[in-house]
Parts: sequence; structure tokens; C-alpha cells
Amino acid sequence: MAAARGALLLAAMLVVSLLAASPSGAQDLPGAAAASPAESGADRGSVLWRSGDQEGAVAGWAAALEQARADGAPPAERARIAYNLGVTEAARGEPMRSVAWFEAALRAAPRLEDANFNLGLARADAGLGPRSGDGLVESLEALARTTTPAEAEWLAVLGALLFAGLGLLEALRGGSWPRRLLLAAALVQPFLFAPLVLHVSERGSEPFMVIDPAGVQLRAAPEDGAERVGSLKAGAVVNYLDELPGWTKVRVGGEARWVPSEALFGLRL
Amino acid sequence: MNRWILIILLVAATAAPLRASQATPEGLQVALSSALVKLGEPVGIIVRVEGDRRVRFGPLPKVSGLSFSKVTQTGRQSSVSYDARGRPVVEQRTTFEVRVQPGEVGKYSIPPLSIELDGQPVQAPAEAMTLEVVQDIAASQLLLFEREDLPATVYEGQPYTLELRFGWDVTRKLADAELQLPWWERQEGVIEVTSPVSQTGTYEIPIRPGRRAAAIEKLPSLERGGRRFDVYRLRRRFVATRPGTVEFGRSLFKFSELVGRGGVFSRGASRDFYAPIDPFEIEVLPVPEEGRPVEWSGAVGEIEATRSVPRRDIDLGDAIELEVRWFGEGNLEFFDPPDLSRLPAFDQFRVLGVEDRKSPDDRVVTYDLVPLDPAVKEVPGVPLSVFDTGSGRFITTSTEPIEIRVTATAGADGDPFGPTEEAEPPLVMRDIQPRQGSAGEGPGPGPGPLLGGLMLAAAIAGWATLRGAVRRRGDPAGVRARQRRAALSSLRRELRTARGPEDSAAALERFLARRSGSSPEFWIGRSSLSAAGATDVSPELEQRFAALRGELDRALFGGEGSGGSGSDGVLVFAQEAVKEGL
Repeated sequence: MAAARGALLLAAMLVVSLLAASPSGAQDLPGAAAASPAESGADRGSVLWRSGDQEGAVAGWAAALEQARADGAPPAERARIAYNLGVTEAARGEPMRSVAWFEAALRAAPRLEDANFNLGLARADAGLGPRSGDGLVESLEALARTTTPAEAEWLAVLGALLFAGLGLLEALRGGSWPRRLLLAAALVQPFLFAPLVLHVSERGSEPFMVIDPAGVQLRAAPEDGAERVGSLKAGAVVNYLDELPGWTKVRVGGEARWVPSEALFGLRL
Repeated sequence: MNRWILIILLVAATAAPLRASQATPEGLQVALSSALVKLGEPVGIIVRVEGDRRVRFGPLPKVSGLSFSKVTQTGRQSSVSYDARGRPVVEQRTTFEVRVQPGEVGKYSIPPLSIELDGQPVQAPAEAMTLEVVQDIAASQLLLFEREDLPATVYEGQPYTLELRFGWDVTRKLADAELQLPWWERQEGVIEVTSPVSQTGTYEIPIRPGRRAAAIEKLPSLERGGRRFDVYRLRRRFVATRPGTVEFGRSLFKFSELVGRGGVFSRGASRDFYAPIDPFEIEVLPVPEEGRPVEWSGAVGEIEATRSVPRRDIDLGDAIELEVRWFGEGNLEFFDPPDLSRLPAFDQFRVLGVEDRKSPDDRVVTYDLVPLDPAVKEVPGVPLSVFDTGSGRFITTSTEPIEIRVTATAGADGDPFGPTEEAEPPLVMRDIQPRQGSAGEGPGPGPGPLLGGLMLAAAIAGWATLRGAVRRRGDPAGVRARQRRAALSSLRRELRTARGPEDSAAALERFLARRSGSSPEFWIGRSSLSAAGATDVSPELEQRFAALRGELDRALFGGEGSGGSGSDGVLVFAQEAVKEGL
């Protein structure tokens, strides 16, 4: 009886996952219908860029991005517009803004190869080091960031399915090899769930990048004369908490600090 | 026998390090101030210790006829100098003296002193010191012993030449001669510059202490005070490597005149004469820091330079052998020659190699230079920064430029070596991405952040429940469970090789045994599954088994079979039995 219950549980789980895997949201994706206002704005930006009007291209793409946000355009489309803005800012001699745009594009579309390539150049141009460090934790985090939230969710489902399948084998057949396989499946679970954990932990946060090449002073209060409580280097990423006119409250090392708003650049597209 | 050999080897092995430990440690110098003194003349054992080291003296040796005073510290000297790279070198030297008072004329052997240096006991010098005390050592009219004047001061790195001339009246017969130079090869911070001695008229004379032979030259005879002397010369060049004082203790020339005729196996009687040179010293000054150019590489003295090239008309890509020769009164062996690859004047050349030949008379450096451009018209002068000891300031001595002609041969284009590395194309930022339609614009939405976690939790729970339930019925990996799972495939295998109803019946019995966990013998002759304990089977399967058994029994015992082995019927029954969970 208990065996039937266990088998039922596993079977139910498989059914749920298969249902979830069905392309239920496919109809929400932009189809091959006429271009949306955001798309036409982006096209206008491209035309202006080709004509050499960098200012116009920036304005066009900025407007297209706003429209894309309002329309709920897919992340890939927003990342593409941000990428184009990064290229334009680099051409205008604004390497820090260029870095921020490419960073934002990669956060929306982590495997946008052109953005990754250009980000390296822009960071070098801005005098910043590599995007991620050489340590194990940094490397794993960088690896986890190459997935989108949706991919991270599917990866977690894959991990659960892997465990369920091998668990079924081990429960019914026993033996050393099924047991070893199940143990291996258990060991890879942290890696399969890590991207999901990362994205969930960042859900709801508003990352901002410091784009002042000289870095910024952290203040205890939103005033120029307020006590200095630290500093941030150019390229540092902090989480937005609140804002007042001219000042943004961010979280640094678990503490709330105030930073001049013009030194920050929002990375969420 | 073998044991004795082993003992000898062991003694030899332990004696070797003992012998090695007897060597005087570095930085410690122990010597008599003079190896020969007149009775009543002061003489002492001088102990010099280099560096800031803790020194303790053990009990002084006891020598019959000699009395020793207490050890007294007679001086402490510190000096700072700079090496060729401009690094400061700090040196410290402490001098002690033990005064020795001879009681009578004679030859004395003074054992090494016991000294504790930084807590380490040592015996120094390595061998006993020999002191000769004579009644009178006034210079004899029969001898000549003099030195060439030396400069009172030299700069560190500046070479100086010491020349001692000695001789004896030509009418006297030589039995033996030696020089007693207590400072010989014992001056710290002084390096001898090898000076070639002419091979003609070259002799050797022992030098005390140690009686090590040194090469001397015979000079033409001299006349002094109405006497004619046979004259020899000891000539050496030295370089002081650090500031301070270079001391030359009292030097003596000892001449033994043969006064009697010796036999075949005996030496004739001799009489000794002595001629001294009073102690003297040279002050070594540091090379000043003021005005020292950064390119100065240690050259000191009055140095001149010449240059030559064997070929001046070359093709592009050919090497020029530029030979630079420095000569004069200077430390020619001790400076670093200029590195042409670091000189802007040689930007149009590549230095392929440098050959450096040192000698006391000159320094010859050959540079292999390859012009990089046919427009090169001359080999620039090679500068060398020198501290000029004559003027006391730094100067630059340079060779004259040499005019050359470089011809570009066919196919040669610019730099004969080509670019040093394949130039990497500059990295250019990738272009914008125009909109390319909606196809492939990214993945659809995910299943939600909770699903994965819930599924994993359910999988773990389901696995644990199922595992527990299955294990309650027995180990699924046990022998019986595996035999039960493999029963059908084993039956198929056995039926393929069955030759008749007997084999088929046996295979069926083994199948039933594997499925039920009993022995095959248990099923022999049984025609009912339920009677054998299998109560969960359907009546249809029960009937089918009874029919199959009957058919097999008839074929076996009654000869009424269909002619086959009955394996098909057995296999069909077995498949149905497995389906029903038998």
C-alpha cells in the first residue's frame, strides 16, 4: 500500500512537471504580427545610428526601451535595445554609461554574446577590471548568471526529475549502482538549483551601478555635508532602497547609505 | 681483517670533518705583526674580526721563552661604501692585539689562539705562527731592499701597483733568500689584479708567513754606494674594493750568505742578513655620490676608449662587429660595459650578441650590431661613465662614431627582422543589433520558481515512501528477488535449448521455483498452483497450468505428445503467470 502511495506520488510529480512544461505561455510571446511601438522606436534608433546621428539614436532607443517596458516586451528585446544604447554610449565617449548598458543587457539576456564581448572592451576603456573575479565562488556565480530566470526554473525541474527517476530505480531495484547514481543526483542538486536560488534572491531588488569614474562617497544622510561613511568605486553594483530628490538610498554591506543619484545607473530593464 | 679496514675508514671519515673545521672562519684574521724582530722590539698577535660579532678569547697559549700580555682592543672601524649598482655596503672591523715579549734570541712556534666567535669556538690561525727573534736586524750594507712610492690615497676601485726591489752584493754567494711580508695576501677588501710577469728572467722567492712562492723578475744589476747589487723585483697590482685603510706591516728581506763549503750530503754554513722596509699604509676613499650619473657602472680610473669595425659596407641584415677597447689606469676588469640596447643612440640597431674579454691591460667588448634600416649611416659612439681619479669627478669617455654604409638588398623591406610579433588587430566593439523579427527572441516563461523545489521535495518523499514499502517485502537487490525478476528471461533461454518435453518440464519447474522462492523439486508432479501455495492466481491460470502439466506428463510418460517439446505452451503460461504476479 505504501509502495503504491510512493509510486503515485512520483507519478503525480512527473505529470505535474509535464503539464508545467507545456508551452502555456507561448501565446503571450510576440508573434510575427506587425511591429509594436517599441520595435518601431528601436528601428528608428537603428536608422539614426546608421545616419551618424548618435544623439538621435540614443533618444530613439531610450524611448523604445521605455515603450518595451510598458508593453512588457520579452527580456531579449529589452536587452537588445540596451545593447544598442551601450554601443552608442561607447561611440560617444561615455565608457561608464556604456558599461552600465551592457551590464543591464546581460542581466536581461545573460548569453547575449555581443554584449559580453563589448562589455569587456568597455570595462577596459573605463579602466575597470574584469567583470567577475577568478575565485571559485565568483566563477560559480558567473556561471549561474548565464541563465535567465526561466532557464533557472527549468533547470531546477530537471534536477527534481533526475532525482525522481533515479529514486524510482533505487527504490524498486536496490543495489549499489542505483544507489550510487541516486547519490550523484543528490550531489548535483545544489548546482542545478543554484541559478534558481540566485535569481530568487535577486527578485524584487533594483540593482544600480556606480558610473562616476571617480567613484562616490557614501553619506549617512541625503546631504552634501552629511557624515561620510564609506565610498564605492566606479562599476560597483548596489541595491536600491529608496530615493529623495537628487539622492538615492542604497544598501551597502547590509547598511543603508545615501549616494548622489547622478552617480548611479539602474540596471533593471 | 675486514673489521680493521672498516675502523680505518671510519676514523678517516670522522677525521675529515675535523680537519675541515680547523680552517679559519671567514671574517677572522689572526697573524703576528712581524715574523722576525730584534730582541726587545715590540711584536704582537693582531686579531681582526669583520662585522658586528661577539668575540671572546680563551686562555692564551704558553710558549717557553715568550710572555703574552692581556688581549686589548686596539680599534673599531666602520665604513660605508657603495657597490656598482649604488647599494650601500656597511662594513665593520674590530682589531685586538696580544703583545708578545720574547725573552731571548731564537725561533718560536706560537700555537693557534682559542677564540669564541658568536658562541662558536675556533682555533686561529689554522697553523702555528712562527716568530724569529734575532740579536740584530739592522740593514746590512750588503743588501738592498726598497719600494716604489705608492699614492697616499686611492679611490675604491682604483688600481695601484706595489713594487718591491731587493738584492744583494754581487760578491756574496746566495745560500737562501726570502721575503717576510706579514700583510701578504691578508689584506681585507683588496683584490689582486693579475699582472703578467715576463717569462724571461723569472724566478720565485718564498714569502713568509707560509713560504708560499711568488714570481719575481730579475732586473739589471744596480750600483748603490759604490757596491754593485744583483736586483730582483716583486711587482703586483691591486684594487681596493672598499673604503678604509690598507696597511702594510714591516716587510723584511732575509738573505742567507753561504760562508762554508758543504759536503755531498750536508749544506754549508750560512750567515743571515736582514733588510727592512718600515710599515706604511694607503687610505682608500669612497667614490663620491655627488654627481654620480645613473649610468655609472663602476668604472674608476683614467680610462680611454677606442673602437674598430672590420667591415663598414654591409647589406641590410648583416651584422657589424663593433669592437670597443678600454685601456688605461683603471679597474678595467671590474666595471659593467655599456648595454647598447638601452641606449637611445642605438635604437636603429639590434644587439645580437656581446663578447667580453678582460685583461689587466685592457677590456675589449665586441658587440654584434645589426642595423635595422638602410638609412643608418654611422655607428654612434659608445659612452662609458667613469669616475676620473685624476680630477676626482665623473666624466664620460666615448668612442668616435664610425661611418658605415647599409645597402638594402632585393626583397629587403625595412626592418630585416620584420615585426617582432604578429601584430594583433585592434579589438573593435561589435555593432548594434537591428531588430530581426520575433523568431527566437528568447525562451518562454519558466514553470515558476516553486515548482522545482516542490518537485524535489515530492521526489524525496516519494522515494523514501516507496523504498520503505519495497524493503518491507524484502531486499529488492537480494538473490531471491533478482532470481524472481530474471525467471522469465531464464526460462526463455532454457526453452531455446530444450530437446524434448523432459527439458521443457524441468524448465517450467525451475521457473516456478524462481518465482515462488521454492526449490525446483517442490514442483515436480504438482498440477495445482494454489495447492503449492500460490493463492493469488486466477482460476483461468490455474486451469491453464493443470492443462499444461497434463500435456507435459502425457508427452513424457504416455508418448502422446504433439511431437514437439511443448516449449511454446510453457512460455505462454509463464508470461501470463508473471502478469498475474505469481
